[in-house]
Amino acid sequence: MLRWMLGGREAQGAVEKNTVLFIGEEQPKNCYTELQVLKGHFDIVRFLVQIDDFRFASAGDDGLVLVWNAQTGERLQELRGHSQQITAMTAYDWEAGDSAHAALITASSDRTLSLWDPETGNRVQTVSDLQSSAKCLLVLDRLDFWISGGNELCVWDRDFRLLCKTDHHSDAGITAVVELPKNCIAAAMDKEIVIYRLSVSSSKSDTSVAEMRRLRDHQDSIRALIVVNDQTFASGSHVGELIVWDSLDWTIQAYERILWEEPRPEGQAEIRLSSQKQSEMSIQHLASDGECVVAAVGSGLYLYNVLTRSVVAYRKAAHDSNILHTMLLPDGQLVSCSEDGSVRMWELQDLPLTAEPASAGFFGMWTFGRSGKQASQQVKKAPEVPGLHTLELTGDLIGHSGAVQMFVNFVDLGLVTCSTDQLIIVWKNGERESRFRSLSLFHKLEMNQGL
Amino acid sequence: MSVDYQASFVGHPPGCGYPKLNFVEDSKVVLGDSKEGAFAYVHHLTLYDLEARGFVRPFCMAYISADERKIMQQFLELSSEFSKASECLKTGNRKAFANELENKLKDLEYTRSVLHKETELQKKSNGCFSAQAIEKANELANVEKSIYEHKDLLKQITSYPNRKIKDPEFLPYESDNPVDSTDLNQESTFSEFNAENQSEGHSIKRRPSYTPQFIKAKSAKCFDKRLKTLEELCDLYFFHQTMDQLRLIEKSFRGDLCYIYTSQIDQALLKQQKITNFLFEDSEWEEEAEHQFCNGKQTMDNNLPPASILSGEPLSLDSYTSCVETVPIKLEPETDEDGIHGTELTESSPCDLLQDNTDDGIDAEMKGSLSSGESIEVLGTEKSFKTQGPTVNSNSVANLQPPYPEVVRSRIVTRRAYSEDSIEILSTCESIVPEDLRPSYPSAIYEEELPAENCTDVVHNPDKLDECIYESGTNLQVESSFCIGNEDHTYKESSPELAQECCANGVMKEEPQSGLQGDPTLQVDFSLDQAAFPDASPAGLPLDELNPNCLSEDISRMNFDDLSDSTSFMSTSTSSDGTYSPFLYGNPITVKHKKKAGQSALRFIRQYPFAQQAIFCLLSGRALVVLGADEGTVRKLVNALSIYVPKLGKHGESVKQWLSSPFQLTDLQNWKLIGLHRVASPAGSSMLHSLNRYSRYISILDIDQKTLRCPPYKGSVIGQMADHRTQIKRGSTYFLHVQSLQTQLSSKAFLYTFCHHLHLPISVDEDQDAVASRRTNFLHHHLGYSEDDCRIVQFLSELIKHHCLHGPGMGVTLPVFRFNYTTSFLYKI
Amino acid sequence: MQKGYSIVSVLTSEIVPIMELLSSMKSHSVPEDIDIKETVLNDDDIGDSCHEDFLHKAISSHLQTCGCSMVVGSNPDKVNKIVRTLCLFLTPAERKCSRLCRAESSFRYDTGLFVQGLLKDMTGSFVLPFRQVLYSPFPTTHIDVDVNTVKQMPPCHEHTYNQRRYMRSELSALWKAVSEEDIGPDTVIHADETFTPDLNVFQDVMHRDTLVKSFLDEVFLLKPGLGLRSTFLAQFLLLLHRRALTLLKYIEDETQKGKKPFRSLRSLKTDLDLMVEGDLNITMALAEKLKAGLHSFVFGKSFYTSVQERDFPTHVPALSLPPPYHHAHYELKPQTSRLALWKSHSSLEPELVTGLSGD
Repeated sequence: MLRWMLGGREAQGAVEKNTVLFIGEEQPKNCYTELQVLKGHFDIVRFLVQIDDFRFASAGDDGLVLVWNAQTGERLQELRGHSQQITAMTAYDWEAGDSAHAALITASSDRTLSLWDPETGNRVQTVSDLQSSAKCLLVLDRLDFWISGGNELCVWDRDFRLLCKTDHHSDAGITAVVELPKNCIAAAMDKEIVIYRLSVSSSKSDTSVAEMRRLRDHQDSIRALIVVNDQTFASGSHVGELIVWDSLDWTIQAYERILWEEPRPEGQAEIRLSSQKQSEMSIQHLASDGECVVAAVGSGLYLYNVLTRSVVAYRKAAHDSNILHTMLLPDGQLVSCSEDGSVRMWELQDLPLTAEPASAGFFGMWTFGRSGKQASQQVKKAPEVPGLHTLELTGDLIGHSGAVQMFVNFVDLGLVTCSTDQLIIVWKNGERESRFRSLSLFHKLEMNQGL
Repeated sequence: MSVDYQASFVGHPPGCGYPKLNFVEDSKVVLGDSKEGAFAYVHHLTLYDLEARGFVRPFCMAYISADERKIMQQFLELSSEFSKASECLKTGNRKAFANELENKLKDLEYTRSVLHKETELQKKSNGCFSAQAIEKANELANVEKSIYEHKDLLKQITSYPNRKIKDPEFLPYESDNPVDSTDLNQESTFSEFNAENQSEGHSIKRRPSYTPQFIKAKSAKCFDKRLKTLEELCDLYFFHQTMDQLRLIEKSFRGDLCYIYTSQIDQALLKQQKITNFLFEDSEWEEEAEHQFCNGKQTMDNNLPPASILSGEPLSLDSYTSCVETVPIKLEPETDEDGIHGTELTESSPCDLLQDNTDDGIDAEMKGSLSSGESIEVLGTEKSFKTQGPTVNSNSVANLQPPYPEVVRSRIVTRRAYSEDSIEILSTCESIVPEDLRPSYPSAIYEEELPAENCTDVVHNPDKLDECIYESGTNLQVESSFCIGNEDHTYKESSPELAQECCANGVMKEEPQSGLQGDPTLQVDFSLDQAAFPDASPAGLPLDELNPNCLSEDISRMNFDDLSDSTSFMSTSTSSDGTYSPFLYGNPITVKHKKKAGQSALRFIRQYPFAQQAIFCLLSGRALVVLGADEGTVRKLVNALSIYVPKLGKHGESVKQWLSSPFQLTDLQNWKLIGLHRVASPAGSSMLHSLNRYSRYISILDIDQKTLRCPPYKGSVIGQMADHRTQIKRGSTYFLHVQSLQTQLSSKAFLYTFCHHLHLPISVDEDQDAVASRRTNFLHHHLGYSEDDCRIVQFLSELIKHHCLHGPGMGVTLPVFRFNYTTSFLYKI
Repeated sequence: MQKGYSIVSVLTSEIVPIMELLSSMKSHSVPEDIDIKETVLNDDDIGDSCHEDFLHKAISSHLQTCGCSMVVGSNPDKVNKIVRTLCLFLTPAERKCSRLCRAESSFRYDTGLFVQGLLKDMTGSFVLPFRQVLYSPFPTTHIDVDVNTVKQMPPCHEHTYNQRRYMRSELSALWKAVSEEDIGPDTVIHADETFTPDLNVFQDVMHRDTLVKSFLDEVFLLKPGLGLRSTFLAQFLLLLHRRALTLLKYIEDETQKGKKPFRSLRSLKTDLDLMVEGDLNITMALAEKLKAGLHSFVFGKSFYTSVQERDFPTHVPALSLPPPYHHAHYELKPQTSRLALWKSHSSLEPELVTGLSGD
């Protein structure tokens, strides 16, 4: 309210810019006190895939795929073969005899698909005569198939034999694929979600794919598609629509339109529009732990409970710019990374309902600063949704000098992030590392029988 | 030293008359003249010379010092070091001698063939029994005999018992760089003042084939023939190795006995703690450690700095292979060598010439007389060595020499180093020590432009040097005896230009080390802090005068670094005279550098109230950025602070002295101390951006604003290290103090790291938290450390662990970057 | 040359003991590289083979007396273990000048050795020649492993002072004897009437330190047998040496390399963290070995003032009036013999006996 009095639109802009969340240097809950910078890529690193308990692969625009040891930071393999940027990568495990084989499938803009053995670094299989480059890959463990999605959907077996494929789709192509029950697959194509069903006969070569339905409820192109649990999957669109679908009958279970700026009684429409740029509402990424879905909406975070169909918590200005990847951890922990180059860790906390909002509002009037806006939101939101929590920033990881594209969390070894600055950083729990080093030191001591 | 020439023929069948080579052990004696105040360790050795009597020429190397205790207490060390040099020299000499023999044999065989022809000619023309024919036949017989004798000698020399050679310590031979000496040191000296390629091309052409000469009868009776120099007697490569070794000896035994003794103890103790040395010690120990694992060649490489010849003469290896084969002095036992040599000999085409063999002895005698007695060849001291470049000798193989400027050798000109101690290689003479030190002695030591004052002082006031200051309470003018460490040499080292200048003028304007040096230094030191030492500056030097630019000549010859340090960092004077740089990138950092940096560090802790916080950052592994606009000031402060940086690295890898571009996160992994250029341009803003972005990992010391932004420090450890009220006056003393405390810290870190029960559960049911609390308890209560002090120990401990697990190299495993999330504060002066 | 005074007999009496000393040093030498396993420092715990406080006192005093100690006891193994332990704190060269004890029959005390093990006789006593002890270049620590006692001689400058005084009196006695022409090998030299040497050369260790204390506390925390303790020991020794060198440099700076008297002991203690008297003594003793005469220089022209300058409150100048507890332990008797002997019983009730040493 005061905002308008003080300076209207201009002030609004200033506030927006200033909504930088600042945690400060004292971060007692941040356990990542050690880092290792892994160098090797020559261009943006976009994908990280965990191979096993200690290994992961990274890939990016330089067409290189590198396999790393997350524990030591050692570069184990360099998988060279793609001439253009990697567009998708997935790990592919299968049982052969008694040993589990870990493999990597990569898709590149050079219209090839490759299967790699991260153990030896060999390109085991490759397909090069694709009509379009694949943008997404999906392994169906149950069937021992894998699927590539580009302008058409192709189904492959382990030996890189094309089992079947769909017709050529629109130019937009398939941007995301998820597996649904009963041999169904959901593929996101621009504004639509197409459901396919695989008919698998006893001989795998007879496998065929058929389109079952097209879900056209999104108003803009779909940016994220994930499986929430066995019953539901979710999709997010460019204009902030979050739709939760039933996995079996493909009906809408919930539809949420995430609009940061609440239409307020006295708020004029033009103000809202100007402040709500499209990108700020775009759902960049979805992540789920089976119960909750976290949506990266612009530079904000939005936590939605699928079961109760209610908003759990949200944070509009969680980062300084678009959030690119998020992850839900146990115990209400949440991690997000953003174009602003930082990784932030959040904790779900009960919203303090008393006194606090008022005081923040009071300060907001005078200082016109940082917390003013959030506080005012909380004031508004809190009475509306009783079960609302707050996402408290518990720590941030600063290291990359470019957008952090994504991250992979090794439970024991730490968090691996990759970025446009061509670097990969392994963030480690310093305490744990120290302990670990002590143990190996004493082990070495015993082995050598002394110093 | 006596060499028994008469015994030369013992061991051969009587009457056969074959000369026998003696393989004489070196002898080591201590000579002293307490009246003159000179004491010497003298190492005698013999070298083979075909032209010498009994084929041996005695030489000696000596270490001369005014301090008798030094000679006595370091006898074993001196002996072992000189033995290395001697062994090296003798190896080279054997090689050269064998080569000389081979050439001589070729000469003889050529002479024989010529004589043979002549005899035949005589017989034809004059009949078999003409006087000429008989004479020719006799000559021929003599040559035959000479050939046999020389062959025998060659056999002896090549089958030299290689027992010592098997010991890698004594093997200076590096087969990868076989620098030839076939032609006895011609090309090296030659190349020093001639175009390199010219000499190289020449030597390559010449080397493969030796043109035999005709040896005239009685020809060797040339009284004018000069003695071979040491360089001629020894294979060039080995000669230079020897010189380097001698230089090393001079260097390592320089300074006060107390200092030598301490550093020897230090080295021995450091060897026992390789695990923690990397933290604060300089690189010497590391090389020592490497020695153990490498073979003989590398050992020699490390012991002896790259032979100076190698730098002066880039030679292709190929051109030398032939010589190496010819004179096979190898690591392998001697068995092979005979064989190889035998074939070499038989293959060589027989030549004929003539020579009177018996003249050899006379010849050698004549030369012996030349070199004995007054003639003293001072072949090299550290200072003098370079200056004697152009003393090239006209050689016996003059006919083969290219037309290069021929310098007639009369005496080898040397200048003695102005150190109290010196090493000299001297040829035979008796009781050289006193003469050598006495400048007025009309000896043959041609000490051109010898600074007379210096010498007389040493000689005529010997008591000055040796009197112990403690013994009498009276005011003594003794300097050097109480001077610990090699401070008295800093003058020489720190301002070589000055020293050079003095030498060139031929007059030492001032006594460099004793008496006068101390006073001005102290005056300066005192006057810097006039408040603290009001009466200590009798001369009343105002601070302005301490600017190095306006120094009087007397003062300017003092330790330059101390002076330049005395102008504060704060002064706007851009003292970019190079004195602020104790270490250059790429050069190993030594204690000497650190001692020099100590003065600036001392100044820093006195001037900055937040010095403790800055040092805390460095010791706890938080990168410290020194931000400033003036490069000289920044560099100087970075150098000063570098003495606190743990794991500095051999070349100071952990320090970036001067950076003008924004730094990256990876830089922070490697650099713990960064001098950053403050610029106002757009580049400056991106730099400020990186400063801002990584602010949680760094502390910023802004020397323009005189502020420090860093976490607070509440501990006691650094208080001792950086007490601004400290009375320590000299930088080097302060460095020693810091070093002691660092030793203590690394010892505590070692303890903390390797205490089993601090890191492992005692019983099976003990969980991690219990162990962690035991750890904390240990640090807080046992060691009595505060939270911040613990952080230092923990950081050092992590470094130790990482070092132990992954070795010193960074190649295998990436460095780990550790940090803490703590709030920083801004400290102002 | 005096009548009846043959050079042969003089040489014999001088050279034979030297040769005996040399051969004993060879036969019972302490190895240059001592295996820590053969010392007390290898014990699992500090109290395993000797009392904690005893070990601390022994090592501390050993270092305070420049590494000179005699270890007396009845059990040769026990004595030698302590000898080796003390030798750990010496340099290899100094270890060469140390000697283990002989199990069969004890060696004599020999002047100039760093550490020597000495076995008590059947009666449980060891005869200690006063003169030899006083003539030692450094003061000595006396360690009795049977009763766990540590006694030390006064610091270097007092030791030198006592030594000189004793020498002077001996010389004057000799001079007197020569003038009366009654000298002979067996002649008893009457000491100067005016000089009675203070036989209370061995005092209790008064100055506790923190250096050795914390070292001992800590070294036993490390697991034995893995070389950890050796490394830790090396670090400790390095620290001591560096502190000693720093101290020397400090004094050198303060006194303009000896031109001026040293007056700033107090600031030295503060600056170099040597506030604890024992720490200062240890560091000074080590520095004394590097620079002979340091104590005399630092602690003044005459050692009287020096004692006051050392400014520790408990110290009473030993020469003027020995502290009362000395009297409790030692009894002064008039000196009648050329060599004063000090006999140490197991009861540690020393007494003076007459006669010659070495018999």
